[in-house]
Amino acid sequence: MELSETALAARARRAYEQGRLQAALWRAAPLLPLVAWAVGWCRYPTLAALCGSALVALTVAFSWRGLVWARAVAPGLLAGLPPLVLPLLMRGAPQVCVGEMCCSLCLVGCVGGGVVAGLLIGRRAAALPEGRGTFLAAAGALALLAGAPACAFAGAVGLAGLVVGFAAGSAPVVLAREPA
Amino acid sequence: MDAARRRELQELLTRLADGDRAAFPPAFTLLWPVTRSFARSFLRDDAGAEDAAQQALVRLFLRAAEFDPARPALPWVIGIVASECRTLRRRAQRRREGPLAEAEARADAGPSPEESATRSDLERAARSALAGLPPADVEAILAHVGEAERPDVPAATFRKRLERALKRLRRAWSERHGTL
Repeated sequence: MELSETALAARARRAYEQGRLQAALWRAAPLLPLVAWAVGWCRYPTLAALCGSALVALTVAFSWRGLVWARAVAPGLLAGLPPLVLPLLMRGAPQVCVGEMCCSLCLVGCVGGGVVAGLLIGRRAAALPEGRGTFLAAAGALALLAGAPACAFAGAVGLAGLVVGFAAGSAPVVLAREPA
Repeated sequence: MDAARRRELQELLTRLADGDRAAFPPAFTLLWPVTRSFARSFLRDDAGAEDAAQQALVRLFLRAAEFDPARPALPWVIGIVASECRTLRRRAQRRREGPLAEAEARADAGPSPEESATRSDLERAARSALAGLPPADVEAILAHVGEAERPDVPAATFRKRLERALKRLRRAWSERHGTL
């Protein structure tokens, strides 16, 4: 069945988008067992499932979209490991007290993991000639979603600590290399 | 395809693999004639070649996200188009195949269908390259392979003429098929 050149171009464009979507789905597929694993141990399985679904959906969407969005996927997921692992390792630890102020070590892990994630992503974003904001937003979203199930052990304060830690880690690096 | 167009193809496919949609229209404009011309030289009938070229082009764009920018673009393109043409030719051959007895009778008669098809492809490609040469060149080459009378010229003149004709044939072949 022969097509006009316009119809062929439209069909080729659809095929291109379909191919990108397939590649993006393959790229996100390894996250599924990780999400299932996180739902298994998270204190709030619904939250872990929501964060995991959002993580997979955003990975697919960014990979399909391409350019800076796609380039942010791998650094974002890698930067999500510290906030995922640190609070998980510290969840059974006792509270840390400085004077009269006490907080759980898990919360410290959330903030620390957030700072590490922020530093990693901030450094990569600062090295980019353009699209820093997009890269920071995309990679940051993935890192925060990856770390959220573990930080949920410390409750809402843990999630807030993760976000604050990420902002504290990434902002100075990005601002320091902001062009004049 | 000359070096400048090869470079352009490489750049466009790299951009497409990266997700740059702006590269789609120029890539389509560049790839469609290449695909159509290759399919025409590979397959027998023009209508079948047009159909194969369209399918091959759609397949190319479907796989554009997999393109590795470290590898040369033209062989990648030709590989996909040739594979699609071979698939379509096999399908067409299966449809045309007659009763079993007739097929068995043919099996002992001479070269296999694959060999015949390959030989026929090469002959067609060679004739198509010859068609673009000046008549004197065609005459010299055909005389050299024994398919025409040798022109009534001194041996040295014929050798020179043949040398020039073969050089032009090589160039025409490279332009059509990208390789010798």
